[in-house]
Amino acid sequence: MASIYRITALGVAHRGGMNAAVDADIRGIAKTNDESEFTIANELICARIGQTLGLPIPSGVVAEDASKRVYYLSLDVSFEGKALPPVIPAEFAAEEPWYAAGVIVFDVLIANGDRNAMNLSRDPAFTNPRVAVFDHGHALLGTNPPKGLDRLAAAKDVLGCAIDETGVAVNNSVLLGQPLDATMLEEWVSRAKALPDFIFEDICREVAAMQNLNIWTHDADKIVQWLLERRDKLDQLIWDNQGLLPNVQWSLWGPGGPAT
Amino acid sequence: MITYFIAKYVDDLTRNEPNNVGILACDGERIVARFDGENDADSIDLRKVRHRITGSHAYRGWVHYWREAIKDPAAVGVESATPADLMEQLVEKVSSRDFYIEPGGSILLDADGRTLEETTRELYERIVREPDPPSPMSLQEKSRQALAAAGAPMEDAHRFRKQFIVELDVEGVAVEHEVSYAVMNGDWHYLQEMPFDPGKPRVSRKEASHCAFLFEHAKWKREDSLILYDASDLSGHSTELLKMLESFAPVVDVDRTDDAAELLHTSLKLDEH
Repeated sequence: MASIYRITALGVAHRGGMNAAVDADIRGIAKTNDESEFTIANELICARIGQTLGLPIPSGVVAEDASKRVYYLSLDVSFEGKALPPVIPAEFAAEEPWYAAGVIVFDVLIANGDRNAMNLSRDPAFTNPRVAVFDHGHALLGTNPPKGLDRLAAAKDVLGCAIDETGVAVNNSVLLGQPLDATMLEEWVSRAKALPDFIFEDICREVAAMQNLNIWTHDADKIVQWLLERRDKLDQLIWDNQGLLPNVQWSLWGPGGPAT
Repeated sequence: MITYFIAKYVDDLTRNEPNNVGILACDGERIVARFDGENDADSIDLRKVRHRITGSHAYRGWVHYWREAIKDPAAVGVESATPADLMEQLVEKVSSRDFYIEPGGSILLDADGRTLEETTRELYERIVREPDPPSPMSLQEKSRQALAAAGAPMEDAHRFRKQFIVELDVEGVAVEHEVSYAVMNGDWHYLQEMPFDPGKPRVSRKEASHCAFLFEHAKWKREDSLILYDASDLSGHSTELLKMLESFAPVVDVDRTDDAAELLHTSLKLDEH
């Protein structure tokens, strides 16, 4: 479902052109790299992958202020422009089973170590309550040790969204223990495995090309490589760690796991 | 000891002027909460808060979250917590700048020995919102109160009807019309409510015309019919309308219940049957 953003100010003077375009402002939520050098890169890369996958991740842009300080600006999707409460995981999984399954698969793909209830929302102000999936600053290259390429190496054989000895995750995903539909999980895995290489290559190289995002070209190539391998073994990775998804009825895959 | 917390809402983050929207009180064993706009079933009536809270849907979502957390802390990820632990979690870890909970204070000794529920209600009325004054009675409520006081057989479906359909004779054409009440006491007696609107002369004129049309074409006798009105709704423009209606049927001011009851009692001949 396409997101709708709220306009906070609308100009009246036409900027020319046949469509009579005018200036407009919309609200966003800004974060910096102050807490961790990879926050903005993580957000940008994960948002592109998640959106391509089909998840309702708010669009984001990189912005800078007058002092050249860089921000990741996630556009505000709430209907009323107010902060929404954290989701109640069991309610979310019951009311949005499709997205709940998608978020799990996406979080495994990007090794998101921080899927807490405040990183999901379901806006009741829309006639059909609208889901938003956001805050991926702790995924991929992480924020705390292990971070950067070390984190990718540590997350190689784990889901990345559950606390374990690798230290990759800062908390357990709130959706892991929920009843999830195995068919939906498999559909999302199929979607992820169908993502073309260029989706990963383009966004990582775009990020490497931006100044002040702390990603260099040779690192970007390694991130792409990690993501491609992750994508290809996504089903096996989930199967190998099915104990972390105790409330999924695995009806489709045989005892040997997915045929890869 | 009772510790209480205040739920707050900031409408404009730039102005940062929080409004108190709820109270959560904890006696160490239980948490009792009350939030603005909640009805008796603990659900938010958006109509009550829409004019005070711009983000009323988001507010309803927060209240739902807080209530679920109180009911089942595990549902929001707080395992094996005491009520105090849960409140600490709600204050420190689950917040936004728009909606949040902050410590309010403690009641060390309550000399009156009130329950947690009573204390919560009292705190709510002191800190969040005084109870709404009872809304003024409507013409219908006043009419029914006067009829009851007059002794009308309101519980007897055979003798007392609301929105009773009568047949009018409009220039030889039979037209069905509704009258507010019909009371059987030997004969049918017909009572029509006439709602004057003190702020809208146009509405009063329309209603008076409607009432006059009914009485002009009704087949009943004048002494078998009454017009009920509320004198507290009269204003300059409606006094003339009332005078016009008096030419069709006796009028009864139901704002003065005792006088109205006496008049109704006599007119409906309630002593006779």
